[in-house]
Amino acid sequence: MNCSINVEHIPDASEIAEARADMCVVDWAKRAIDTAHHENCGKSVMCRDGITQLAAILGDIVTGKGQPDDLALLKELAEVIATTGGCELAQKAAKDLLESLRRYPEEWDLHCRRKRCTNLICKAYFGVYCAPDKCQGCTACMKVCPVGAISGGPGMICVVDTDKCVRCGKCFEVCPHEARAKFGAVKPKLPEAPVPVGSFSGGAAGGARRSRRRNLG
Amino acid sequence: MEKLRLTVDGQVIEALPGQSVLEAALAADIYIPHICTHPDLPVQANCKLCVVEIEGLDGPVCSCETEARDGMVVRTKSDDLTHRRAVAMEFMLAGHPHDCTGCKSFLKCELQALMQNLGSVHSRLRTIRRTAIGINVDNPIIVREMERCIQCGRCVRACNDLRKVGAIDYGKKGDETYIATPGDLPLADVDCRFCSACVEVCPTGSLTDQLGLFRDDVPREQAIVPCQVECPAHIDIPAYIRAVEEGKPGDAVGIIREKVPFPLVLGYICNHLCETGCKRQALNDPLGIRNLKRYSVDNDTEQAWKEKYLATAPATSKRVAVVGGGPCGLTAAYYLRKKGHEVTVYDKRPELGGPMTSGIPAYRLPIEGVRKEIQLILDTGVKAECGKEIKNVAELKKDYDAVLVSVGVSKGRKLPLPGADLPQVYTAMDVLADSRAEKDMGYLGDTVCVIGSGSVGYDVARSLVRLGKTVNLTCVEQAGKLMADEDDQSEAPEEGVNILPGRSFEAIEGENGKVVGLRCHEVLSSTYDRATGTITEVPVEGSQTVIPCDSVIFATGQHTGLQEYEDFGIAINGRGYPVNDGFKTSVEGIFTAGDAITGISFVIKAIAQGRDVAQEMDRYLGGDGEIDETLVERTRNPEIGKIEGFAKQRRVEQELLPGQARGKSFDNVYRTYSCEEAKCEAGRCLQCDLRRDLQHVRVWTEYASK
Repeated sequence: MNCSINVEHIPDASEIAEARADMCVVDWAKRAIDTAHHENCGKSVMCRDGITQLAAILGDIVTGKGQPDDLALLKELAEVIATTGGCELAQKAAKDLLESLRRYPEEWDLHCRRKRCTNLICKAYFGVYCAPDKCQGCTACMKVCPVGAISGGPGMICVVDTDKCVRCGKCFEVCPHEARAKFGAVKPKLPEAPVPVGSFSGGAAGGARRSRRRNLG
Repeated sequence: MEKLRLTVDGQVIEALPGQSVLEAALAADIYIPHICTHPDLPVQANCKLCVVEIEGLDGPVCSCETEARDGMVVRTKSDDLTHRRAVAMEFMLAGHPHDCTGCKSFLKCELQALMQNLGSVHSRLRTIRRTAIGINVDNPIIVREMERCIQCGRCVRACNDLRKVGAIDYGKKGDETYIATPGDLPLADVDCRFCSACVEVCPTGSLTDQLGLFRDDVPREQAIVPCQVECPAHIDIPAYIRAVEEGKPGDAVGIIREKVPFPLVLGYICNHLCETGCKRQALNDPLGIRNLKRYSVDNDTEQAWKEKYLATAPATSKRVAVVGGGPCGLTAAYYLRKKGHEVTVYDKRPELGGPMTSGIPAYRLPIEGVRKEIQLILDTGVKAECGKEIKNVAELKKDYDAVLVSVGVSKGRKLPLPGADLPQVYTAMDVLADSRAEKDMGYLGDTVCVIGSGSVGYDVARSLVRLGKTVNLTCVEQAGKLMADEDDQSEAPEEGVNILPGRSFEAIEGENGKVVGLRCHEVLSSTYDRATGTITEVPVEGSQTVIPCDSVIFATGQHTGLQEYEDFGIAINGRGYPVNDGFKTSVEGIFTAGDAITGISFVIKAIAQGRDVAQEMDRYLGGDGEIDETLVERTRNPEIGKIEGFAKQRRVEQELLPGQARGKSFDNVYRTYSCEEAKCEAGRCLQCDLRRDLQHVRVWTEYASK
């Protein structure tokens, strides 16, 4: 065969044998395809153009730009790639995608049609907020945010600007009070601007409102 | 060899052992779609279009990488295969521009043909925008529009596997793969040999020849070897350059002799139109093609071509007379003799050769070499009647089946100036003939004026300087617009010729019936209107002078002199040229060619005319007109390999003797290449002809079964 590219970077389909709360099967499949895309040597149409095509479609699906026909198209293309010899890299990645599509059709449909990610893994489909009842106003999160999306101050409940936030997850790592959380289609009731710690009574338990569905890509 | 039999779509076909299913099917005129496979390149199984189903095998396989086996049953068409091909095409087209009509390869594109064959369209898939590549015109020969590239890899295999040059390969930027040069450097910097094999095998418009590189008025097969196209005799120039490079100057001469009987003459004095076509000049300087020819002739010790060269066809009992034994007449005589006709050459001069023996000076052309070339023609059995002037060719025709009038333009023309009838006023033809015959030239006096800036004028001036004369070469053309070639213009002043350009001539001054000077004035411009015969000039006020001289020599044009005969036997026009329709004259069986129909021209053109008229005359005499022959078997190695700094190699010039020494001797002014110089220069050749060895890829419409 043409290329001698190592396929061990491509995840094994057994990883998604069971549903897990800490991963998204769409994101997982996308990473498999992206890895193949990154590794490909260009010598076969299936990896060079086929995987590139799959990566483009998956890129759309996880950023809210999925089309209704995309799932059928993905399956059709991936089947051709998976059953065409000559490029193990493309074959293995395509098989991963097919396996994910086969096992979790509802999750794919959710991403593609309803623009949602059950486990809040796909960045376009979740937002980050600070739980007002847990925040102690330590400002640790503000110091690490790379885009300045968090407003607040000492002793103030901080507020994350969803439009600015890039879902990098740094604030999750530094928050000493585990106040950081994700929201999906439904945004909890939060202060619109920083208020002193203890002064916000709406709380996460209060009446929630549906957030406007939007493209957060 | 034992043949295998296999069934393809129900049709039993034969295959050679080792052939792939694809090769066997295509050879049997059964089309299987494919684009990455090329008959001259190793298989890559990259495009996945040639998938077929084979009984007993699980799933489709690429027919290009599947060896044909006896008894194999192959299906090339099924819904699944159609779908697979459609998807593969969609994949490729997703990253390919849609502007087919704006592409240089429109209607010459294999991808476009495949789209029609498979019914593909720019499709439902996501459009892939490539960013790593673009139009790259950083070299003057190969245009790379890589956004049109589908990465079939043919060019990479051509450059690496076939040519062993390694100037291009797959590259990667980010996640994007593309066809790249090492380090993305310009082709010249990665030692590309500019053989253009990559262009030849590219199935799309990604790699194309720079526009204007080739002539579009000749078939492409010929046009891609521009030196050979430009040569009037179409000598196989790349082949003889290759022979020189391989250290076989004798083979080079044989190859040249396949088309012309005067390699030495051409090696010394040809006006080398081939070099004006040479593709290498787009990089830096054209090959020294003429100089390599001279090197070959000067170093051909074996003459291995000789036996075939002298062989003639069985006698036809047809008799041909050739009137005028210059380069055209002798060439025609040689080829007509080769075709088995009995040929007699008549020449009014005492020696055959025309200007080759009586015009072109010794410092440009060694006469002994010319005589040897003429002798070879006589060795084929051509008869010569020298010193015999034919005054009526119709009379001559009575004794012959065909006559060729190749009298050339041997009569000099004088301008109608007052004093032009003085005895010390000569024409260039007379002076050159005397000089060449080493006659005493004392009759010219010490100081001469030569009128005319063409190469004949320079030949006279440079010859007379060598005889110790004071020579003024004067002409109406302005400095920088003289007609002779650049070598003459730069070398003559170094030898001591005074150049006096931009003059209008009033009269030749005489005293007591002897020339004493040439009266002229300077002009800023002068134009001659052929229609009305009037001259319009802008003179320089007060510039009238008399250039003192003992004789005046006109190098201001030549003519046939045929009008001086009472009745030459064929119709002659008002300017003294035979009335002709192509090579035919007014009398059946009498032909004419060479300068006698073209007017004064170059030796190579006269030779080409000689070849052409010989073919026509042979057909007239009942032959097939076929005069091409192979004197040397060729081998072309497609593996040209890498040469460091190839694109930057400069032309090797022949050493020019110092001007002072040149002006005193009739020795040739140049030194022939040394062996090393010749090999070095020959090694610069781009070998454009190797492209012709690459097979044409047939598109689906050219197959019986598609």
